[in-house]
Amino acid sequence: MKPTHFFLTVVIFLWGGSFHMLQADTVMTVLSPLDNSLQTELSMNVVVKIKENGIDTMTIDTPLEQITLDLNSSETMKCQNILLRLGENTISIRAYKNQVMLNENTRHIYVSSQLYHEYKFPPEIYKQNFFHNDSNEAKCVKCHNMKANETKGVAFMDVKKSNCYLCHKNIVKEKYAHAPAANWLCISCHDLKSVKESKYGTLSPVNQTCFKCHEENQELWNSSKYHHEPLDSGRCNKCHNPHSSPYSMFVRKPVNEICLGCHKGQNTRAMQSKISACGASYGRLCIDCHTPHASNQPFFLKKTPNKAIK
Amino acid sequence: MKQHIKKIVAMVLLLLIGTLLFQVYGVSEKFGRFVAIMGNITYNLQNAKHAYEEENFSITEDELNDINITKLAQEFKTSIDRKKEALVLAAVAPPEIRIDEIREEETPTHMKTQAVKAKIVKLEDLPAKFKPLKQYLHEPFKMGACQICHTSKNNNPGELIKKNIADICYECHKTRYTKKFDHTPAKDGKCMDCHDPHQSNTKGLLKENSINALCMKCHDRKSTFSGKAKKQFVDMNLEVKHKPIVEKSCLECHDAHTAEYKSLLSLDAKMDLCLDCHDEVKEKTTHSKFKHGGVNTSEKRCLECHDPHATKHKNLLKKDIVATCLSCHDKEIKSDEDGGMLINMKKHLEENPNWHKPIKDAKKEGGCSACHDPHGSDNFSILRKSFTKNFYADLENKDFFCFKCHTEKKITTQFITTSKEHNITAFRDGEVNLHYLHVNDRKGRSCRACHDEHASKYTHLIRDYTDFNGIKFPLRYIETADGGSCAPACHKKFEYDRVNPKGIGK
Repeated sequence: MKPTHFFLTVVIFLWGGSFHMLQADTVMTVLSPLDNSLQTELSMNVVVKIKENGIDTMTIDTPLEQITLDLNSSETMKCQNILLRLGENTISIRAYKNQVMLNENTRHIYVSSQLYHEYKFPPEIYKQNFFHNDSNEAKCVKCHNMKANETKGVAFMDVKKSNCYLCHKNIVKEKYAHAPAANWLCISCHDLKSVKESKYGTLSPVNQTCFKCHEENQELWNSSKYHHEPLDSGRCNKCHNPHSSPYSMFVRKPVNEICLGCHKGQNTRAMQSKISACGASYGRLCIDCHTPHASNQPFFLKKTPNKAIK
Repeated sequence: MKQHIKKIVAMVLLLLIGTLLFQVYGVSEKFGRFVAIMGNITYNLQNAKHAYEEENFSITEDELNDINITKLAQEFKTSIDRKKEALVLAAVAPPEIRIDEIREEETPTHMKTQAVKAKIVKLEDLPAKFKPLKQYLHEPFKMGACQICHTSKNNNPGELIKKNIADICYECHKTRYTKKFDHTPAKDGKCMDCHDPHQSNTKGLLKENSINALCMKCHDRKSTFSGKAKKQFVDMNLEVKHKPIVEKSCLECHDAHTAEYKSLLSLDAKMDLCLDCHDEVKEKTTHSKFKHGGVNTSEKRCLECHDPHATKHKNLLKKDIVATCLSCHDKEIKSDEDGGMLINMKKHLEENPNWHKPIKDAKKEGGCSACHDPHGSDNFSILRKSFTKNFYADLENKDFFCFKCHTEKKITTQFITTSKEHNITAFRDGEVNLHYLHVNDRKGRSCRACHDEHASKYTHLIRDYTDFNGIKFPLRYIETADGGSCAPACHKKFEYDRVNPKGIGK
């Protein structure tokens, strides 16, 4: 065989291989999420477009779980809700046919949290992407009704009739659910005009949205002498999850953890000192003595210091 | 010197005459006044502050042209005309005559001396048709003075002295009827339609046995009378009648001849006339904190709901006790209390088949007015007793309306242990009284949070939606044989069972 022939065969082989790769690429396309996305919720939806009869199994690997999905031959779209952890998440989505992997996609997702110093400032490559815009919705509209269908001021008798429910049902799965979220009155907070990039953004800071209903709190706090920083900066959602939470009052973590997350110095003091009135180590809560929002007493004490310590 | 003396005398005389004239005409006084006035004017011109200083008061010719003289003149004229009219009206308006004064004047007394000219006919000589004599006799007839009205001179009087009977009547009964509204027969001079000129068994020489019977001759629904009166009929055969008509007569409210108000009434029929007797209603309609628009601001006032004569329904209501209310509340109505909209109650009752007992057994329980006072109340929604508007209410120390009929034990008993107590409430999980759990908590809820006080699709009057902060949240109540479940906005779906407790509240 002449060297030129050999060269040609190699070229042809490589070309053929690349063709094969091209073909494999069309077997599965991940529509959502985009790579290097930034978010604050601990769950998200993976949306995958599949070539008909292209694959029979799909796996999604997340740091928390491994999901295996057996697909019908006729399915061309697959939506799956996955759980995430704080910080960086690497998600691998693999497509199989007859136990042969045809394609692999990797997505890097960052879940930030204002309550932890280490997750407060995500690396710059991560950007917040809004899903609900016209071009994205056009891809889903074949199967899903993408319009918010709530009647203003009237909750759904059957929550499953909400168009939002199907994709977002995980946000209210925790024990304590905020009434507007649990009743799928999404538009009452996710205003249609708040954010340019998305149809269902929220105002930032969020407090004006909260005070629409919790107006008596606003009056009470405004009249108080001392204000806690998150209250003044208007970020109620820093400590509270507006959808649902395993903890009472929809706080994102157990009360003491939230407080001591920022007030680090108090952490060691409260835990170690046996004579500390706070006695965080004896199963007491910070909010037994302190009010977390606003107070007329110094140190956000509920009553005047002497009474509070007794 | 002589010449000088003459001159001096003349001057003295002139002086004397001058002073005399001065004294007679008070010239000095007038001059003093003149000087004072002129002094004032000069002082004011120099020192007083004028609204229009000369330099400010300058009108250009264009501005002068802009002033519409003709329009000003017209306005001036109309204002004068109006004043003139008022003067004329004041002159024309009749002096106020009280009804009782007229009635006193109605029966003139005849002196025998006045009737001297008339030929006296003895009672025995009267024609046979007047016998036997009745209880009340017209005085000229009693005296036998037939010639006061009749022309003929013998015992059989024939023609009347005047063609128009009314003119004869008014000759003695001098009070002409001058008020705004007249009874049509009185206006037309048909005195004989009601009165007998000779004698009658009824006071007032009426043609019928009683006042009411006389009125009903024309104003009965079944009357054969074909005049205008037929339109203003009254059906007095209905079972519930207005007491004054039965016990006294129509004249308790109406005047037979003339009156200041429509329908021959002495006061405004819509309300004032009624409140003249009904003191307790007057108190409510005028002094209560919350007033019913149906009485206080409606077109017909009292007559919006009540019939003043007779009806089939209790309290002289025009319709059935619930239907009366629904005749207005068949649409959304703006509330006088807070400007909010009151629901379309008719539609609400039609859509929701389970009604609150007072509405369901309206006849026995009193319908809407069992809870609401239609004339006004000091409690919101014109409730007869206090209740709360709030979602959260501390029910412990308050005496709420619901407990007038429903036992308070429903919310005060924490555990229902014996089967004897089972009738207190069916809303329990095993022994745990779930009413207690909902109501006696730190944030006790009002009864209306879960129950609709009027009607509901669900049993126990459970609401379909509860209003919280302006948002309607469904309760999603499902009833089972021994319990049920709710999934409101307040909590996730909780099930309860009276027989096999699900462990709520533990």
